[in-house]
Amino acid sequence: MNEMVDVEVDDHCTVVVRAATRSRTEDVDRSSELGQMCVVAGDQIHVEPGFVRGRGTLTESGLLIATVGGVVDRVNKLVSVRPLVSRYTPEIGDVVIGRVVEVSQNRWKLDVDARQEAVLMLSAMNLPGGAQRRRTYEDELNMRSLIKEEDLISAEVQELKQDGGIALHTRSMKYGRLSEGQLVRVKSALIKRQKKRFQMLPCEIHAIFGNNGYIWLSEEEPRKELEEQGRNTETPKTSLDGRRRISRLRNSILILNEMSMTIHAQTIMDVYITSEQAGLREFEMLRQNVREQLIERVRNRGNF
Amino acid sequence: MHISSTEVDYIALGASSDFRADGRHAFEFRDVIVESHLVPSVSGSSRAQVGGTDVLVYVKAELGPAQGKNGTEGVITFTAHYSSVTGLDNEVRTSNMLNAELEESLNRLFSEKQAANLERLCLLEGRVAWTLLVDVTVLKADGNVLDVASFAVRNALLSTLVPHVEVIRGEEGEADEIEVDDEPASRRLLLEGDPPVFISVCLLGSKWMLDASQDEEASMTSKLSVGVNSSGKVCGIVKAGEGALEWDGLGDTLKTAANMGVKIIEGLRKVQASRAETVGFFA
Repeated sequence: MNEMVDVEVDDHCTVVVRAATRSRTEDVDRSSELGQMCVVAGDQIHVEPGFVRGRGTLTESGLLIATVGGVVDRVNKLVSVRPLVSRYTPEIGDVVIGRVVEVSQNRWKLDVDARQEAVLMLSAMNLPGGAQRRRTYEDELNMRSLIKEEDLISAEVQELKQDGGIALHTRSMKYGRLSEGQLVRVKSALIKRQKKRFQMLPCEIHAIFGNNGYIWLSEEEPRKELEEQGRNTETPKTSLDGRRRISRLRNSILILNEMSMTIHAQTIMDVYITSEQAGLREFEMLRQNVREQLIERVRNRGNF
Repeated sequence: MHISSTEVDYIALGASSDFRADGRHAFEFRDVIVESHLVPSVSGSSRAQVGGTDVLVYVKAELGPAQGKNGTEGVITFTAHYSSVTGLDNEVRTSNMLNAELEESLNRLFSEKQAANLERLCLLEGRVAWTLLVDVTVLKADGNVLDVASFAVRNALLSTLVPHVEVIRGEEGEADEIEVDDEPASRRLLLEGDPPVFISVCLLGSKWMLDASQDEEASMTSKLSVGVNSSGKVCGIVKAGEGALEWDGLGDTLKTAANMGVKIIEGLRKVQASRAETVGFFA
C-alpha cells in the first residue's frame, strides 16, 4: 500500500522519494448527517418544502443544488452553502494583514486576498511622532519612506464602500508595517472569529491572526515602529531558537489548513505540542503520512 | 511573486543559520511523490509532487521523418504550460515567459544526444522515426518547478509504451510502408535509457540551498539548474537570476547537486519498479 523508498541519508543531503497513495479519508456516506452537511458543487441538498434559496445554491426542476463546495447553512427556511475556499469577505472591525501593491497620490493599495484591493488612505494612519495635523503635499511625497510596495502591514477594516471597496486604517499603536517574522497563508474561512487578534502564544511567539487568512508570526512583539521612528529602525533579529518555534508553528498551521480544521491559538498549540511530544523535527511534521497520524493523535486528545 | 525586503532579510538570515522557514537544512529536499500511467489516452504519463508543487506530464508518440545528421535520430519536443490555478500571479506576459523558460530548459537538456538516447527512436534510417511530444502542465507552483517537472518527464518517458511498428522501405519513388501491430499486448517500452533530471541550487546571501520554496526563490540572487544523470554526470547547466557567482566553492555546489540527482533518480527508479500497475485519478 504505502510504498516508501527511503533513499540513503548521508550527512547533509537528504531526500525521500515515494509513490503516490490515495488519501485515507473514507468516503462520506451521502445520506448520513455529515454527508448532508458537506456538499460539493452539483450535489443535491435535501430540503423541506417551502425552503428559501440562499447563496451558493440554485434550483433546478424543484431541486436545490449546491453551486460551491462547502458546508450547508440552514437558518429557518433559508438554505445556503458557505464555501470552504473563497476570497475573503471583509467586515468592519476585522484585523487584516495585507501586502502593498501600489503607492498612489494619497493612498496605498493593498492585496488582502479579497475580491478587490483594499485602500489605506494617508489620512487614515498616524504620522511618525504622533503629530495630529492635516496631511501636506510633502507628506504625500514621503509616503514611500513610511510604507512602500511589497511591504506587509497589519490594519483594521474601517469602512466598506457601496461598490465593495475596502477602506483600512492603522490608527492604533498595534498596527503598522511588519518585519522579522513569517507570514502564513490559510483559507480565511478557517480562522476563528475571536476578540483577541494579537496574541502571545504559549511558546512565546507573537501571532497576528488576520481575518483574511494571513497569519503573522514573530519572536518580537510586532512594533509600532511607524509611529515611533519611521521605517529605518532596526528590529532585533530573530534567534535560532525563535526560528525553530516559528517554523513549528507555521507547519502546525499549514497542517490544520490542509485538514480544513479551525485555526486559533488552541488548535495550533495542540498540534504544536503533540508534534513536539512525538519527537518530530519541524520539517518531518509535513510528511504526508506523519501529518495524518499527527492529526489523528490531536483528535484523540479530545480538544476538537 | 511579491516579497518585501524584510521578508528577504528574514529568509537570508535563516539560510545563514542553516534553518529554513519550513525547518529544513540547506541541502534537504522536500519529499518527492511520483506516480505513472495516469492518463490512458496517451503513450506515457506521470505526475510529480514536491511540497506544494504539482506537475503533470504526458507523452504523445507519433511517427515522423528521421532527424539528425545521418537521419538516425528521433525527436523529443517539449511544450510547457502553467495552468491558471498555479497560485502564481497570472499576468499573461509573465506566464508566457515562464512557459517559454521551462520549455526551453527541457528542450536544451534533451537535445543532448546521450541524455535522451535519440537513436533508439529511429525506425528506419533516413526515413521514419518516433517523434515524442511531451506536454508539461504545471498544476501548482510552490517553488522548484523545473526540477519537479524534470522528475515527471523522466518518469513519463520511461513509462511510454508504443505499439510494435514495422517499416518497409518503399521502392524508388514510392512511399514507405508502415505496419502497426494493434495488439495491446505487443506494446513495448520505448525508452530504456537514462534521461537526466534537473537539480537546482539557489544562492541566498552567501549560502547555497537545494529545492527552494516559492518565497526562497523570490529572495534568491541566482539559481543554477544542473542536469544530472543516474551516474552523477552533469549533462547541462542553466543559470537563472540576476546575481553573479563566486568561482570559489562552485565545484562543491555542483557536486552536491549531482549527488542529490543520483539519489533522486535511484528513488524514482525504485518507485517505478515497485509500481507497474495502473493507479491514479484518471484511471
